[in-house]
Amino acid sequence: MEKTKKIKNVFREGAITPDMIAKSIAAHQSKTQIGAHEIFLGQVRADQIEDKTVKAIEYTAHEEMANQIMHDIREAAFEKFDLSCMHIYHSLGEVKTGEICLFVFVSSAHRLPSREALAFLVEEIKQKAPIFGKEIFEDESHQWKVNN
Amino acid sequence: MKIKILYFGAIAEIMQKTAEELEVGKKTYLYELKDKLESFNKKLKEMNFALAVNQKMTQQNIELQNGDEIAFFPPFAGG
Repeated sequence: MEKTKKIKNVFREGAITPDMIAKSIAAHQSKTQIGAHEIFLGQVRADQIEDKTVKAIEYTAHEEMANQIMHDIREAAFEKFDLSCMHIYHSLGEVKTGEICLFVFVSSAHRLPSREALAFLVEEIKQKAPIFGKEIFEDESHQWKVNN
Repeated sequence: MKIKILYFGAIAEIMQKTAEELEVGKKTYLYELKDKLESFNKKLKEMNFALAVNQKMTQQNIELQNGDEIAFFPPFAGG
């Protein structure tokens, strides 16, 4: 019998703080078989649309389904690349411009697997996870973000 | 039979709700439901959306079962 892995909750309310990222790095210092970490941080950009500037993105998701999809993406990455560990966090609710909304952290013994895995993971997450973003402008009007 | 419908993002905004339960006849197919909802709300017809049944994306006109969860997803915007 294969042990079924528990599905993790990738979502965090509000921005992902630099402190959380630092603590996550520190937590890996005991894992001395690791020789390379790759980190992707998605940051909310102050896009300008005509004469309006984005001040925040409000994220919503089909959380249960997104967590299952993230789990499947994670499993696919472990299958494809020789990795030691992997962590994915995504914000829900309001994240202001300049703040972090996506944190993907991949570790491996040597640099190449984690580098390749990171690129794969970020693209998969953007394409497949049912997460939605409302771009709120400084005048409180909004538009809906679409991933390219 | 009863089905649960979930709306997200821009779709929730035009439907003015995030969820509803609908009573539909036996042998209702997914695209019938979609057409019915689009006829109730003309704005929905103009939207670009994808569908998931019981948390699986689908592009097939499947027969719905009692208790199914149907999600209307606008374009994804994670990250």
